[in-house]
Amino acid sequence: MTTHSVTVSIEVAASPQIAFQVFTTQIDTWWLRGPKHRFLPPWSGKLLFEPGSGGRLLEEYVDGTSFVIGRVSQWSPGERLVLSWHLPSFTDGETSEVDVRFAAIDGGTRVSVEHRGWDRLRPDHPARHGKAGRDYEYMKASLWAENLTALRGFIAVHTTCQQQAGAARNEP
Amino acid sequence: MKQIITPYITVKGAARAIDFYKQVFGAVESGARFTEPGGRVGHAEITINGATIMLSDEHPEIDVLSPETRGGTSTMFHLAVADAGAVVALAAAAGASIQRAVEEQPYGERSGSITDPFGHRWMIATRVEDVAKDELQRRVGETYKIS
Repeated sequence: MTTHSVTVSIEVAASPQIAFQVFTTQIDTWWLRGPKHRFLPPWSGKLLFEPGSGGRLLEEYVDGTSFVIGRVSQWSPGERLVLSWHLPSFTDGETSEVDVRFAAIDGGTRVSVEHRGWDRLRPDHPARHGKAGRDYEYMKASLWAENLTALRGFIAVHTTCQQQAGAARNEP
Repeated sequence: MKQIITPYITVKGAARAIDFYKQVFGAVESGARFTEPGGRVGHAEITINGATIMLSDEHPEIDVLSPETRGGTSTMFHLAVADAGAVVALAAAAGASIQRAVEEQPYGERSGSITDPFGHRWMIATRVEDVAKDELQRRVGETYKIS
């Protein structure tokens, strides 16, 4: 069993329902681009959640092919999203698990990501980049931190636009 | 201008400290928080009126220790606020100890200093007037040579 994983969390300025909706339906927009964050060349595939339990997270390419990143085991809008997570370097049977929680806080939501299962990878696994233990956990966590920071920024703009639209609607 | 020096402080109880800085100084948690399975915070980031401070829990294995453990701090943060008296009162109510009560200073600030519940020292100040050098020299008399 997994015994250690670093949880990365961030505050976003939206309700848990909206944060969940943005996380899932807009992932291709807020998730960072390029080889550091996308899965396969040409690093410009489109990220897409199939909604609901049993749905997949895919990276779709212009030639019509796709890479399956994971499958959703819990889809609870506004609360929690759990899915398996595979990197292209994983072989059959190798898997990790991503657990995303959405907790209401004053003025928004704390989005927390726990990515478990890295300790199951063999010591010389290419996904480890030669790292082990807490160093490796923090390396993986840093990638999530970069993407969650992007999510926070996206939501800040998104909700500001919503508020402006709302204010505009209230104009006599 | 982008801040190129960022204080990185160590506390016992980073999650509680973030709540304190939010409640008392109006901080917002502006970056990702890294939490280990045991609850230890490896990194967090707050911003107070545009100025960023990073913080973490203690990591004794790499000699990252809080003022509580070290027995004091050698650093003080100067925080500019609109109403120093109100902020110091709020800090005291939230568990800070007052080192020096808020009073008018000869250099044009109303300020006081506190030690927060995590051992960090803050000078809380409100600018009230700009004081020219010769006027400041007149006010401090023989105590300091102003240059």
